[in-house]
Amino acid sequence: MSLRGLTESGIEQFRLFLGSDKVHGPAPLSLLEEPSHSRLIDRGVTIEPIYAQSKEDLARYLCTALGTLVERPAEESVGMWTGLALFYFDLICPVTGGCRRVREDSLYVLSGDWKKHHRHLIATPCRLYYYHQTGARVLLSGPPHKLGDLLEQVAARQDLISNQAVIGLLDALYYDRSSGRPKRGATDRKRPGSLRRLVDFLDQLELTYDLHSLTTEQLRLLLPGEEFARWLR
Amino acid sequence: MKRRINQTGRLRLTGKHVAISLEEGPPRTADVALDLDGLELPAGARVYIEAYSRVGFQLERFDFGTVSEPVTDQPLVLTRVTSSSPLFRVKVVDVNQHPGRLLAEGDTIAPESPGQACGEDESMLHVDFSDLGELVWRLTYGSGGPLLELDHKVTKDQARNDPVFRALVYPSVFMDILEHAQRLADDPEADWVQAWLKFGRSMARQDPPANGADDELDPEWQQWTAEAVAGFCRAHKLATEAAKIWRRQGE
Repeated sequence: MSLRGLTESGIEQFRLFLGSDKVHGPAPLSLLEEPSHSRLIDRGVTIEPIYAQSKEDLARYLCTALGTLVERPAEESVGMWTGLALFYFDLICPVTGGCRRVREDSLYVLSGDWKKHHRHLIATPCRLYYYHQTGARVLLSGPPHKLGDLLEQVAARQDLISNQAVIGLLDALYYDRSSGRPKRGATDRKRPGSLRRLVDFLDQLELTYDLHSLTTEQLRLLLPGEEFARWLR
Repeated sequence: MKRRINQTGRLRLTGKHVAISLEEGPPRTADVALDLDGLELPAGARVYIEAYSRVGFQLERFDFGTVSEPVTDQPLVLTRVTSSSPLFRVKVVDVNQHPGRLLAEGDTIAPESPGQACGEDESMLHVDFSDLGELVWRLTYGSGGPLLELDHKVTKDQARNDPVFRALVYPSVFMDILEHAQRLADDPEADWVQAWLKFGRSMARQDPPANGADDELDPEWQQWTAEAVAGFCRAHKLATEAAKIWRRQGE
């Protein structure tokens, strides 16, 4: 299918679907064919239904398909990302035991509110993959229908997720190479050296350092050793 | 009470050192004029300009050369920062002794145009419009001070001039900001706090309590804040102006 984005009325219809009993049935893909509810974005960009085991798989496929469209400003791309959420609805809101577990709208309809904007299950993984590729694997592991605690905690912080060195540090600290998943306890708020502590530490460091000028290794050397050493093993 | 300590002696860049003007374009560009003379910064230290929006996902960073050779021949082309109220940050970064360490920084620098603020003091209260759903307004606080977010269904003209909007929204905004500022009153690095307390003093016609408040229930601060907000409403005849509209609507 050539890439189409939902119009305002299409988004409204999608919202109604999300809030209705029909949500447990097939997604209303016909909205993406009707000119009153959707419009063509780029005839040359085609997308197909795929099976993706992780957010990284889905983001890799979409970044290849969309190319620089991923960079479009948020306010110009609400229809595109929401249309993609509809197209891949079975991936990001799967039917289990005859039901879907639908969560808040902002996971499916790209929100213009910056406090919710980062929660979108298609846009956020795609942007992360587009800028960091496999470097963001610790944030993009896990199934497409779950944002995941790690991603939830850092995605709202544009200064952090746009920083290659910080993404590299997250990978070094919290990615478990043997399991291909985040290390156990990485998002446990009470645990020394967990993600929450790292974000607090980076906030403090930012008062003294330009984090964008540092490499992952330089950042690592600035960490309080005793607290974070165990995560680097 | 929060207090920041400047252990590394980084310098603060202000409007004396940085002037930024914005052209909406397209393309949207920013002209940056830097005057770092007299600050005794190392000639080879790198200068970075960051354009950003306090509303979420927008950040764009530009390498602006070095202290001795800044890149001033080309305006910065902003492609990712599309907010109606972009802000700028200037960083001077050590590349020798302590690589990456900030030698000087200026944050929340508003461009000279377009007019981006409304309310009583254009340079104090930054305003941005975004999709807040059915929420009309919301205040958020960053290191540079308060940001008033208005839902995009409210127009700039309504926000500036509608007497009913002004009467119902701005007193609450002012009170919230003063309550926030009083908890940071002892922080010498928080310029915005001092500016709002000064404004509050002019409205309350009395000095704020001598020490910062430990919580928002401090009775001395509560009383001073109430005086300031009442003075603000009086100065702008908010109830009277709103009532004129209501009377007209009733006719």
